[in-house]
Amino acid sequence: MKIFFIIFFNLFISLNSGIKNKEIDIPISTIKVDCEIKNVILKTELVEKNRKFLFWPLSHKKVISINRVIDSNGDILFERKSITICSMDACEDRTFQGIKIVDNEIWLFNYNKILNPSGNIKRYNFCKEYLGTKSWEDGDFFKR
Amino acid sequence: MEEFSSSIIQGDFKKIIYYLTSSQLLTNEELEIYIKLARDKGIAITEVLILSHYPTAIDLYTLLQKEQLIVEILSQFSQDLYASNWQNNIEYEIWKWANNLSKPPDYFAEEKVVSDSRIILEIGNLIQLWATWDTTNEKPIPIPLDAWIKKVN
Repeated sequence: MKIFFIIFFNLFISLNSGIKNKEIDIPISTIKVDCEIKNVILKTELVEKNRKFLFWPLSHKKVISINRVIDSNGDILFERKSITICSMDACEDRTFQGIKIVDNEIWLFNYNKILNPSGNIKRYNFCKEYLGTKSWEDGDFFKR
Repeated sequence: MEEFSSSIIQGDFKKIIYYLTSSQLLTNEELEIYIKLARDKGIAITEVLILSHYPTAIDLYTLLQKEQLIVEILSQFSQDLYASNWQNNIEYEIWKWANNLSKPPDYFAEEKVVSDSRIILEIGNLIQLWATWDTTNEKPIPIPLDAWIKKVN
């Protein structure tokens, strides 16, 4: 009985020896307080391509929108390309590019009908350092 | 004229136009203060409004300030139209709309866009500068109006 108890006790200790307290990794902030880059510019290129079915021109067209955030050194910080098929009135929606420069931050708007239906905004400083995510609130992209 | 100053700080364009048209003529000293205020506020349209009513105020600008102004005007107009600091070829578009060489797309309020483009052209003529995108350095740069006209034609 004693031998059985000792074996069981040793086995219990040896099993528990692998268990460690779960450590939570706290990310060390690498965000610089002062970003030397003071100005960035959002440059947009639109490429429109008319569509055809064999020889007949169709009413809708393919619009490729390329948005680039460029810093004062001429380096491209972010580039986003989106392709839309639009026709008639649908082409009017050009007042929102999905990227916005607000004060000293770059906001990247994310939305996906299935994966991310509520939408969020990723915030970066002018040195391309991630600052955090905020929820997409009404009027965010209307404000200058 | 404190109300005029506050309308510049608030960016209230209707009030700015009202004070510019209804008040007595501003002295050079007053103009200098208001232009500095508008420049510090960072809204180029306010400067454009003051300059369009007082073209002589351009003497208060240095060459560097003039260059910054024309780049800023085109950039802010692009922001208003396309939500982008620099829509590709915006300088050509504004030039054509202002000179009646083409019409703005249907989705813009034509009269407003054309009249704004003409005001920008007036400022360009006043300071003899225009702005264009420098593809090598990837930023908008000022260009002398003569060089720009040669480039367009």
